[in-house]
Amino acid sequence: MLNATLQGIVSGALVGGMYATVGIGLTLIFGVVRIVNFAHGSFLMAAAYCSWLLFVHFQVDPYLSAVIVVPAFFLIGVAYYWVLMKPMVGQSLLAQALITIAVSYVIENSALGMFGSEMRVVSMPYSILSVSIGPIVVPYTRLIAGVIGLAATTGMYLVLWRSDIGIAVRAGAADQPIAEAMGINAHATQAFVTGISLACAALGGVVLLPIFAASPQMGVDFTLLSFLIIVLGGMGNFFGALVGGIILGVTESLGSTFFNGSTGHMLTFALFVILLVLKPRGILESRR
Amino acid sequence: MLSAMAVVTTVTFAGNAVAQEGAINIGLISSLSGPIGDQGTEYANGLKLAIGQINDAGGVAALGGRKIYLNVADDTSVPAISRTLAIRLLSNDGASLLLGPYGSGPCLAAGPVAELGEHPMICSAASDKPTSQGYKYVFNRATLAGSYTEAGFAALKELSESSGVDLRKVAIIYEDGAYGTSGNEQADSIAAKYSITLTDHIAFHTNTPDLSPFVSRAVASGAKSILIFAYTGDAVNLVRAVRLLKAPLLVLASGATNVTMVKLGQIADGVVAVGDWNDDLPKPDVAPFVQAYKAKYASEPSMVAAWGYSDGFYVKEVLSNTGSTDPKALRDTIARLKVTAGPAVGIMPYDSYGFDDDGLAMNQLGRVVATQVQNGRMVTIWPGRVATAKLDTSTLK
Repeated sequence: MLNATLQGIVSGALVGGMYATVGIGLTLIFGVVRIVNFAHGSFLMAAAYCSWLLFVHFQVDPYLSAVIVVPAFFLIGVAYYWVLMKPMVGQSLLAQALITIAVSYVIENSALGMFGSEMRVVSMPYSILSVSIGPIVVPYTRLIAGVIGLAATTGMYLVLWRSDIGIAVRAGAADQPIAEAMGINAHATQAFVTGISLACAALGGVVLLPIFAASPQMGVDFTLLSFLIIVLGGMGNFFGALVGGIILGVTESLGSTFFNGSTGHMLTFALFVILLVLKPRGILESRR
Repeated sequence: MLSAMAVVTTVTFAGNAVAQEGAINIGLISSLSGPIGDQGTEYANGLKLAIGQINDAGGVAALGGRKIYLNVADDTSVPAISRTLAIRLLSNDGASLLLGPYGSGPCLAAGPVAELGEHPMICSAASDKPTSQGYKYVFNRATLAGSYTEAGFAALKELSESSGVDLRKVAIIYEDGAYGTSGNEQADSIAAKYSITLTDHIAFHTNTPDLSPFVSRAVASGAKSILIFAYTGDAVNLVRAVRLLKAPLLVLASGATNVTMVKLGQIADGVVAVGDWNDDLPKPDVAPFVQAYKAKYASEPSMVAAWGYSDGFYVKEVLSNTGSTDPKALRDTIARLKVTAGPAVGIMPYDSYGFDDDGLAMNQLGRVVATQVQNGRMVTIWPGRVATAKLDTSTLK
């Protein structure tokens, strides 16, 4: 019982670390650009397919493919801001939501058209290897996901809190007119944040590919997951997404350890409801 | 620009008219896009290959060498569109017979159109519902999900006896949606018939990232095999979890996951699947079919592609035996004909293809084979009459 609990906590926290990275990407856009990006999970799915294509055609290890895929999605994110999101800044929430939902449909159906609905898997020898820490078995893939998730989160923290561009981003998020009066190019910083956001989604797609399988449906699943994370942690809150991701990962893991199917899955949502009743603005106070 | 489009349109319609002139008009409704688009496309590809070969060989001799025109329509995996397409193909395009739709939902939606229009329809559905409505014109060419499960248990019983490794203690791991839940219930009612002891019933939610707790539960229940009702991604994760935990369990999965399992490589070695086709079947027409399919589509044929190919030649036999394209006469032929020669059965594990009185493909259990991944490829291990290899138990130690 104790071993199973510890196993569930460790395994869940590691996957939750990567969930957090994906969630942080979504919360950044909301916190800085003030747009809810319903296509976030679809970009994750597109990145997973890119990683799979590099593996199939060029035998690139899925983790190494991040070197190509993540920067590419940063650039796509910058373009996404200038072409589609910038005209939506200041528009109604409905208009913003509709355009990002439309983008998600375009990406999802493009994937369906190009790759069909077949699950695309990568088979790496290390995907069935694990390390044992006492009674706890930690699969390599989850360990890597947790470490990369933690490293990415730390990197983003340093960029946003310890660099000039981070100061500009946070200033723009706090008060855009004042920031612009101080000489900060608000649109440039917002484009940068959108790029970072999509890079986070892409990192999630790449790192989770050896754990899950790529399919058009995974975009919708991860959009929902990302929303759970950021609402749980507090919309627009960087550290809240980190906490939310880990809570979600651990709850999911413990739920599947001790309960059957939907009951375990339901626990995640029950916890979500309870926490929101107790802390309606999310677990952590907003901090940008 | 508009006039150019008009010319193109005219040429296209003219081309269709030429293609149809004097030809036997057969409609195909398949899911070429949408969630089951991959399987629907493979079925259509197998069928088109067969029709092409029949036409190249001189068409249907009993009808004066008339060629077959296959009128293909994509229902995008949406049942309502299947119904609309059935109306169009039968009422407007003049099809004598319908093949498809592919999938239980589309079959149920198009069935009433065929029945009311009194045109035979041969669809593919894992559910028994399309042929339990009392229809006279609706036939289902597929093996039912429950038949696969029963055959899987029969295979476990026989393989246990022949290998000396008792695999009859089975834990069921199923996704908790409609597919997995119904599969689990059916398994419950069939197990005793084959001396199978079900040690646990373990439900999981699809896309759960870590399935190892469920595998641990199966091991703890004393199971020697796990029967999984899971979509492909979850099935892959379950196999990974079994290997990760070094669990000495035989994994019994659905043949629909075969192509993906093979792509997993060494990890999937030892996985057993039940289906109704494999490319190593010792039947005369398998190798030519595989060769022709690969030459035409540059990919390996799947089980579903083989269904399409078999159905193309079955339809030729129906037309030959009827001697006309009258829909009612075609229906009567389909209801009584049992094809025992030619590629319709020459690529399949069974030796007779036809339909029972309720319209369901005959010999449901006798058509199933069990395959196992051995050294990165699927080989047939059961039943003995078509097996090309023995059960490999090295992953069970």
